[in-house]
Amino acid sequence: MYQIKGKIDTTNAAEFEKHLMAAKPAVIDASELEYISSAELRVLLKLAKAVGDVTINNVSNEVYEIFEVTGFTEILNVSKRLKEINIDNAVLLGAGANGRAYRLDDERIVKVYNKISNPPEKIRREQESARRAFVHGVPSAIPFELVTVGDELGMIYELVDANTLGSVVHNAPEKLREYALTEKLREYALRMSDLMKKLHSTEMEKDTMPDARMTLRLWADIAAKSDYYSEEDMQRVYDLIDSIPVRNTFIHGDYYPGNIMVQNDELILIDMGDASVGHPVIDLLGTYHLLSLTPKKNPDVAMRYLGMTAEEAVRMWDILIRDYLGTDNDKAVADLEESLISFALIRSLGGIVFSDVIPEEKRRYFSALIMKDLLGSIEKADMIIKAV
Amino acid sequence: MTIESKKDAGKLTLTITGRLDTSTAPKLEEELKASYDGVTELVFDLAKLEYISSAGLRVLLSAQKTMNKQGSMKVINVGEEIMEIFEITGFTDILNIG
Repeated sequence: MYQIKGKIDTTNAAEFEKHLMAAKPAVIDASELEYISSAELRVLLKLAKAVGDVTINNVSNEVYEIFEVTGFTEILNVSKRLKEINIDNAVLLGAGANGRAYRLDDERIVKVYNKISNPPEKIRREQESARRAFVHGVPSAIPFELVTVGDELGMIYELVDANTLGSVVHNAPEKLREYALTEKLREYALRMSDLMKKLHSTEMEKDTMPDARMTLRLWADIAAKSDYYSEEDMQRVYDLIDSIPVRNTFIHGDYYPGNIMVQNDELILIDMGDASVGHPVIDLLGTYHLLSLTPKKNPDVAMRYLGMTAEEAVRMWDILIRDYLGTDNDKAVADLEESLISFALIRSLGGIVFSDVIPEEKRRYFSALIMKDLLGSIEKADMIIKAV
Repeated sequence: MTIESKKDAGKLTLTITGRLDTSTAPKLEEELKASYDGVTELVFDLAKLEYISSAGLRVLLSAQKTMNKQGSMKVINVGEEIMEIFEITGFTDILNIG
């Protein structure tokens, strides 16, 4: 890591220039730089001309202001030094595969990201996507700022003081059980469908969000790297992903009751890590996977990630998809669900490779079944694409 | 939160005092829905606004969308803390802040 620090002025600028132009770093660390002079700016300009893209990280607020006023933020990739947050006294709200969330005060939480699965650029992408979603009216928490927590990165979000949609539906009082399973479940399924329709008609500015097919390609890449599948079969999977038309409308990427909070009767989306733009089928395939396919196959795990029973989840999906597709015709719904299966199983192809619940010797057997099902309904894949 | 409403021909000025958060935002939304008719100029005076949450921002956003169709909207007397939230969220690019 190339560091610049201390004070550079007319007396030592020549030496600084010689040193910097000899090293020609593309990435510079400015964590110990408290001041920057015009002499230094000139040298950085020279470096930018010689190297092309120059990134300067950990810039203090004062130095950043100078970069901004002089227009250097347009020439160099300048990123600010992050605030450090102490979580020793913060209450842990929850932990998942990606990290932990702590309550900072009455209005804010900090989401701390596990280093292994979250490179800095992924976290910055989440911040950017969350901001764009928010200004487009997507009901979500305010993404405040990126911070450091020890040697990990964190993001401060507005606190959404509420329960997940899954637990709201599931945890109705005993005497209201029947009501909860009918009216309440129905109401929330329809609201999930409404919100989804709203998201899927929200146009984003061109080239400001990732292509939603990227997530599917990542799953396919994981599958392809294992030796479970033949190259020809994987090629058909990649072709299937490429066949999904490009769209510029919002995709949440992980739309299911565990990521929807009910706050004061308003549905609020959390977890913007997979927010992107694309064809609605990419949201539908995930919701179908988590609300219907998985609970049907594995009823015991539903409570753990949905906060509701498998039976509730499957009923919810059925109401949601009929409303979303605008049809109550059983045959039409069944056909479209079958058409959705190929897409939904792309996740499973990759997921089974490192599943921790299925023993290794069985994974190969199951993976063959998943690929068979996927390819078996691939002929119908086009139907759902045309329907939504 | 209290809302003080002043109407002068097509100009409606709403002065909001206190916290605009998830529990009070619905009240502002109702007030707006009841008053949009005939309004061509909507002004939010935020001098006495102490706090705004995402729910409050969403109401401002939907007001902006409505006013884009029927006139103009302006936000005035924005304090430092509220302005910081507008900046962080990117609302400074959407709202007409004067």
